[in-house]
Amino acid sequence: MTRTTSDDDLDLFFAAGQDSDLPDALRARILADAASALPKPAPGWGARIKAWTAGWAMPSVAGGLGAALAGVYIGMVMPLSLYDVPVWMDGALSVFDQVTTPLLGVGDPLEMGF
Amino acid sequence: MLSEQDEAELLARFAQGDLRAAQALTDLLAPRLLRFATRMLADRSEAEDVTQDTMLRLWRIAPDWDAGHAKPSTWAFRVARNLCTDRLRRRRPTEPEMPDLPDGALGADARLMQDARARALDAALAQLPERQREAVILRHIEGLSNPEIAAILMVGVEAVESLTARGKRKLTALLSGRKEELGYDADDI
Repeated sequence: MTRTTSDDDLDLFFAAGQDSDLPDALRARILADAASALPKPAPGWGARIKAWTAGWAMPSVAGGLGAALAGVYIGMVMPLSLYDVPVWMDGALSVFDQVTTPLLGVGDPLEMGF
Repeated sequence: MLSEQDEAELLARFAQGDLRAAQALTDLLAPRLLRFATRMLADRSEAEDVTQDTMLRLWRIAPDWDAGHAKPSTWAFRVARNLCTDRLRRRRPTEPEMPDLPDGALGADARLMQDARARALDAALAQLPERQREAVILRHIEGLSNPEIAAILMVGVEAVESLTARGKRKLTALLSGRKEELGYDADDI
């Protein structure tokens, strides 16, 4: 293409108009925007499990586990039958009368005349 | 100037969390957007806001960027152009101030002369109708191709050619008398 003199003249002005820098402050603002807009990476398994346990799951698991252990204890480990509860209570009261109250220095209220 | 694929690749890398890609895109696009907005708005502060807003929109669209979409720089210029148009419409009609575009590392005299030339260009550009001004800035200062400008201005390529030709004719008329005054002698040509 043949360039005319006026084209060249204008090109000189256009060249003068191409000088401009990006101010550091503006660049910093743009990059701060970029950092905040940066897509967040998907959480790893560790973070997922941690978040899961930090919510409702941990108390639920703990409650379920407690109930299961109590069931195992009552059903399989407990040495005495529940039908023997009156006997345990009698034994406990006997221990109270014969051991605990003398140790505390408190006698039988009936014998003390109340 | 980066190709469409390079720009899209940088944007894709940013979408995957690479902040260095954002720095590269910023250094590539932001000075051009700032120059364009400064000339459109004749207000440096507003132009900086437009540039920042445009880049923010680019960051936000990055994860959903369609590789078959327009070139990211074309998209960014279109956004900047729309933001400038919105601001110009909201503005009361006033005499535009000439934008102050800083120069690189030049000597004091050369810088003054360069400033004077840039101001003369800006003053002449400010007298062009808005669409001619957009077309001339994008074509001759930012170096975009006619199809890219057509995509930004949402007109046909022929219309872009017509706008730039008419804009250049008017600029030539406006600047022809200032050539000697601004240090352009016959040796420059």
